Amino acid sequence: MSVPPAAVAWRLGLFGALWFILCGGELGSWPFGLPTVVLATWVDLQLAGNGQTRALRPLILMRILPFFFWKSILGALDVMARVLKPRLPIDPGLVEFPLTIPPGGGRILLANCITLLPGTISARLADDRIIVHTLDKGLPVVAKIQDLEGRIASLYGPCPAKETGRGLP
Amino acid sequence: MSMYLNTIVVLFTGIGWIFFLGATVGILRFPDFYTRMHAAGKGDTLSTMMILFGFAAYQLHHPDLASLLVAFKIVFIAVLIFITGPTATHAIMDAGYGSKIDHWGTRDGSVSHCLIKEDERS
Repeated sequence: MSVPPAAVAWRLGLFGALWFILCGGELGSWPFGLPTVVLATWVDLQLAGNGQTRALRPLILMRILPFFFWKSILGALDVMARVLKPRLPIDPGLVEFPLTIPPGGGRILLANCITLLPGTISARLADDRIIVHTLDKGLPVVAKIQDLEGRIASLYGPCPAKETGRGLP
Repeated sequence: MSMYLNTIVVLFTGIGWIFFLGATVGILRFPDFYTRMHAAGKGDTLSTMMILFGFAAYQLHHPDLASLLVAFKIVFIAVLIFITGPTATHAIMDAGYGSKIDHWGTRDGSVSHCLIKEDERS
């Protein structure tokens, strides 16, 4: 399987920048740093199936990241609001839900984002279904997950190539 | 300048501590494993990130390369927390679900399980 040069360059640049930040720009660290960066690139390419996965769209990711962050703030506020009320207004339950998003990085991202949403945590992800634990069965869990699914589907390109479980470029 | 920066630092770390307090009260008050994970998972991730952003902002008091790199390092840790926090919460939740821990609110520890079929999706 041939590796696209862009996939290698991306990773070399990212891991190089990471090493630079970690070592505070110390020149003496590079004899260790260079082999480490190359090794990290190689390992990441192995894990990502030699760069054959569908790439995340970085621009749309930038646009959607504030949304995720905002939702996690709402999630923490929701827990706090419930906890500080003397009556503890919760009505927990499970919701099982079929997924339309293809397997791979998108699903893992979806499960993580459900965990950040107010009042829901993904409990199990298997066989094209997700089981979600909700703090309050009155919440519009299904509608919220469908909205999230659409947003995450738009993060990935339309290419129907096979997934190998990773979504990074 | 330094005044504004201090305000940002205090604001971020302060909000972080308030969310941590909420998470702690949640762990103590919620009745079962699953609901406690809601408090631990959400409050924890956000408050750690908030406090780290506050620390990163504090580094900008001395805008030289070394401080900037430390600030970047802290932001990287925050990004890592944002990825690992929900992942760890999901892993613990999955393990609890797999080992069939009792749910709160019913006598036999079972739970109302709402199943959405493919054709019920809007």
